[in-house]
Amino acid sequence: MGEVIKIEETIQKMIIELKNKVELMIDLAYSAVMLNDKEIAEEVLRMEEYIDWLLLQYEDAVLSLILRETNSDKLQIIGLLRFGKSLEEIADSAARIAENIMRGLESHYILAKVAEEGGEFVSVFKVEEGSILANKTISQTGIEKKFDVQIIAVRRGDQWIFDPKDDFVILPGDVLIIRGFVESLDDLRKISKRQS
Amino acid sequence: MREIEYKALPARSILRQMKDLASLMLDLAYFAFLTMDKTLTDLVLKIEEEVSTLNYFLIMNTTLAVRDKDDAEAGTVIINMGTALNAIANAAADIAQLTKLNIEPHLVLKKALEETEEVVKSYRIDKRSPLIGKKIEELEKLGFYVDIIAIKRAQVWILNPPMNFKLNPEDVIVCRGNREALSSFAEVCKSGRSN
Repeated sequence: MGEVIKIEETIQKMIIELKNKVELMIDLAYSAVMLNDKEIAEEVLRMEEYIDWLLLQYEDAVLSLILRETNSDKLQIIGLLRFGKSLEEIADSAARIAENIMRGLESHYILAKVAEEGGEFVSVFKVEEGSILANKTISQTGIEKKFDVQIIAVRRGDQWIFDPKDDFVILPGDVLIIRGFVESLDDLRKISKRQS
Repeated sequence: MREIEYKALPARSILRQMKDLASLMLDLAYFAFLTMDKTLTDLVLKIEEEVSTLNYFLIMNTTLAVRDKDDAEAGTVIINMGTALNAIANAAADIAQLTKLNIEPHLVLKKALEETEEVVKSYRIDKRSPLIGKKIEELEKLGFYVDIIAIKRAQVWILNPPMNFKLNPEDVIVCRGNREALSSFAEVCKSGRSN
């Protein structure tokens, strides 16, 4: 019985992770094309590879559940499997969008003014050693207020932190995933390169 | 199925619309599945049709804009992107369609979707609610940071209602926000005790 609960908790965590990442991937892929940014595109492709792996772990866990809980509702199990598969298909589509940028194709000849027209985008910022953002909490950097942007996630190596709190300490090597208007993201890009 | 005829639309605005609709569909699809709400599923399917229609317009407008090889490269990106956004809309619709197969959400899925940072919920506006007659744009001033993604009024769904949309008693509001924001909003939809 304890084992079933453990499997259920694992599945629950995987669903949350799949959902958070897949939603973010749509925004990142869209921004990668609109801002013509290879760094964003690379992040999407990296995430897609991970989602493929995660889906397999998820499917494995769902099947373990029905093997142990033989009176599970079969339709509900099918629902879980299809839910995961649909999210993985979305991740694949996001990767297909990002791939255009990795192949060096540029959309601005036709889209031209998209970035100037406003609207929010999501971009990635790698925090270099010695950056003025490094070793400070999010509130100490003051960037969210100053640039009217939102740090929606941080990738630290293979670890992801979604919706980091104000007292989260940014370390060198962190990749910040930030949502904001184009001008704000550009201004932020300039200062994030600055050394402290 | 609607017949399609060429309409001049800028590719960038079609793409923005397709992307926004696809993200919106995903939110609505989770919620339709969680609540087994087939009328919401129908709405998701209607948006899917809209995204697919936009994709035709995107391809027509893009092919018409191609004059040289740089345009051709750009056009390829745009058409690839439209196709992928259309596929995302299809996948979101598949999630909503589970309700039509009478597949109930497993308990772990219910728990998981309750635990994400942002959740989608729906509330009915009570006739005693102080929100009656308020415009959506006034909600933020009143301290409610929720994103209203759809409203059902007299059996008709209204997507992304405009900021000057006024709330009526018996409106069903589907909104997205963080859990705390939504729970105080839930109160005020009912009786307004938190006012």
